[in-house]
Amino acid sequence: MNAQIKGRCFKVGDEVTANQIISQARWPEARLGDWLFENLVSGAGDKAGAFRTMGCNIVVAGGNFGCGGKSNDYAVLALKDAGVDLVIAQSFNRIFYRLAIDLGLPVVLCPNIPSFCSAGDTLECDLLMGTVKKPSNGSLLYTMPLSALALDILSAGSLIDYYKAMCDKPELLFISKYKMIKKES
Amino acid sequence: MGQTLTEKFIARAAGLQSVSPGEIVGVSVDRLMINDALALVVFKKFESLGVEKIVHPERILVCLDHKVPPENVAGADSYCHIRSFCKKYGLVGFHEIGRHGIGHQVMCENFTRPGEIAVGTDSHAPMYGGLGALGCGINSSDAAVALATGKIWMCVPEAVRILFEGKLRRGSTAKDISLFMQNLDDAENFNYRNLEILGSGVRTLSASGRMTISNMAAEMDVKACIIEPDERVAEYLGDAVGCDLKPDLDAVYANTFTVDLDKIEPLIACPHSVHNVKPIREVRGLPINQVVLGSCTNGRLEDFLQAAELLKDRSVHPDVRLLVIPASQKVYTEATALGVTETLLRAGATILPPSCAACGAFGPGKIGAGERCVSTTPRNFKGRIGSTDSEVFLASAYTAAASAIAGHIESPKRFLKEGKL
Repeated sequence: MNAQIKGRCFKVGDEVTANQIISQARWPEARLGDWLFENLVSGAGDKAGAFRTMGCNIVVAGGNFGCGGKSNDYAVLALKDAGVDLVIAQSFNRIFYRLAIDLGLPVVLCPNIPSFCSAGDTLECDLLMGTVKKPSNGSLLYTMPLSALALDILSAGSLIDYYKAMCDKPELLFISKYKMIKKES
Repeated sequence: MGQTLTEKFIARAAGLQSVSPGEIVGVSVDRLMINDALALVVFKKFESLGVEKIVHPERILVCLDHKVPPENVAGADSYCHIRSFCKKYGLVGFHEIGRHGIGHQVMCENFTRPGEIAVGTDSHAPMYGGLGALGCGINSSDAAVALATGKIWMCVPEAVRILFEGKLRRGSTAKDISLFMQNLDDAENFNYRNLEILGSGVRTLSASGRMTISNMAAEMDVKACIIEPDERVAEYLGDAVGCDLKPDLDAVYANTFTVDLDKIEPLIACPHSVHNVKPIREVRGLPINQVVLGSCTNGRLEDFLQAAELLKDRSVHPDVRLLVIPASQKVYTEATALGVTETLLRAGATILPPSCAACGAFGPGKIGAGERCVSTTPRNFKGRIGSTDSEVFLASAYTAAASAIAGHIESPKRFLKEGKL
């Protein structure tokens, strides 16, 4: 996991459902990213890959991002396939948040993010420091820090990869190495 | 410092003395339900782990509910895979068609116990909280790792306490309570929290009604909804294990609300949001095309008894189809033994086999463009039961039956008043 993520942001509003992230009509499809936010990208129409042409790798969202109660992987897979490296939201729906961590997509909770940036702004996020910076004017915003275990899972790549890395020491499963370092120091 | 039920349950499952909100811990899973919607992905991920066996096969249910019976070859093939995986790994909790039900319902039929950590690969898993368990939805990666290790990670949520007082009046149901609760506070204040429902009013509610309430709590985006278990749960389960669980008196809650059950009137969630709840009188008279009585929310015997109470010696309106879907084979069998299915059939209902049916992506019973449906199911997003150009209104079994008879949205009070009952 790269703890510093820099890029251009794509902005969406409140209550974006999993179905708006990727329409149920598109799954299961190999290239889900072709249809990411198909009804939210202006002028996307029925054109595949519209999101990618904007060159955005950070999604900035309002409240309850990923709501609508979909427990399958498609919304997160679509985001990753379309080149999204990070989602920063005012708040996340818990099902989506869990999916994102388990599938290795960094998600950062940041209540003031919607008013902090505009669509197309370049942002720099440091997952370990818990900061979002706007290099154009140097302004800085603090995010809720990612939990130590979430960092472990994201660092491994996914929950499945995390398990594989931990399977020879099952007694330490879900006990964060970040936390242990903190306790020792 | 005192502990909430949430904190007690998670601490016990994590093997810790106590836990605090915000902490992430590994917990032992007491019950795991895997449904047909995600089973193949779960099994594929499990097999990628290189593990030889499942640690606690006896704690796992594998349920066919979204696509049962399969309508195409792909569905049939997926069921073949599910059956052979269950045989290979000794998952005796596989429920074959004809001995099956909606996974959440089967979890509550003599399986999940109060105080347990009970998870399912579907968003309505909070339903197990109706029995006093901590029920929550997980994804396919969590389930795969749980098969291998018996554990999942869990963030300890803050809890919001809801005190039920009084008793429902005739014609009002647990579904009406759950619709009322949708707007109890700003949605943001429930996200990622647990609900704990306590108070003297809880005792007036059946186990079935409690399952309706904890099931619909999923629409409030809570992690889980634990309803304090008591002797009515013990009676439902046929054993009293864990039925006296209580939070500490000095437990810390994020917020507390009181709901006076006497004041709950029949309610209806209007298109296209579960939160768009109104008293029935505001939409009464709107003509309808279909009524759905079923789902994990309201497909139990109690719901069928309510519908049959109104439909006995009456008929479904000529312009309306009434689809009835028992939540499980057990519900279907019990309803048949009591003569309830005959009452519904004579009134003009169509009965489908136990499944999620039209509530969800895969099942039968969809409605067409321009149609309007009154349904006892949990969701009414645009297109949830069919065409994106249709309307779904969510209500209790009483309201659904009253509307089926009237041919338009109708309050159960109209038929309960006639004194025939």
